[in-house]
Amino acid sequence: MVGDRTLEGLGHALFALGLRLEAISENLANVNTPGYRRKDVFFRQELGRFFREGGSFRPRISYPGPGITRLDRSEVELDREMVALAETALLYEALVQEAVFKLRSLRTAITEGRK
Amino acid sequence: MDLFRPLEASGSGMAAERFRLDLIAENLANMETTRAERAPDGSWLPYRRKVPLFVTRPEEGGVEVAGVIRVGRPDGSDLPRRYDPAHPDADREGYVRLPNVDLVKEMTDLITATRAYEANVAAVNAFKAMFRKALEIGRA
Repeated sequence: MVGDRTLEGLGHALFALGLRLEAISENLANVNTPGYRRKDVFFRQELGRFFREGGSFRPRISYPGPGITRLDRSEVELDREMVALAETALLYEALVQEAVFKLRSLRTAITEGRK
Repeated sequence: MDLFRPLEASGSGMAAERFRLDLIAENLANMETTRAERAPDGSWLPYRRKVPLFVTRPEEGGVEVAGVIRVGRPDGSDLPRRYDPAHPDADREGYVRLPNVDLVKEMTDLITATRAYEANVAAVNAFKAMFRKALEIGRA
């Protein structure tokens, strides 16, 4: 249980979600900046690879390009960013919950063994 | 990675949108101002609409106001004219040059700026919620 990659993977995912929040915050700050290119962070594949093979974890910050064309050439769509923001915050909470649960089980395993 | 970088970005966005709101207020206040600045020949020129120029901060992330653009020709030759011979700034034919402030444009900009401000506030709140949640790991 200590040796598996769950906790480490959770940490990586939380880190990547932090990066994603940063990207979304920057997108929202630049919602009215002409010519701004929106950022996003993708880590699903990388996380899958980490769980299969281990090793280092490198989430990718990318510029996915515009979904729509705006007159001022900013790529930011407010609705899409707000959805991504909610998604990121909720997933973050869920993963923290998961990490807490995992750590509690570890603690239980350690303390119960003393009895 | 700086821990509070998302907050910096959101803060810069809020500051930029607030600045835009300031300019909108100034534009609206000067909708009828015919004496905003002096021309080189000493005559008065009407007020010209101001808009902010936003640029992305490449290093810190977020946005900053690179400058203020005054819309229209500096000599005021493309400003709208109104026939009002009694006006002290009317020309020989009785026309007055007026500011190029358009109420509808300012109002739509006002809504855009307000919504963008709110979006940045939402990002700040999301950051706070995530940060608080992360602290729970330490209490596990």
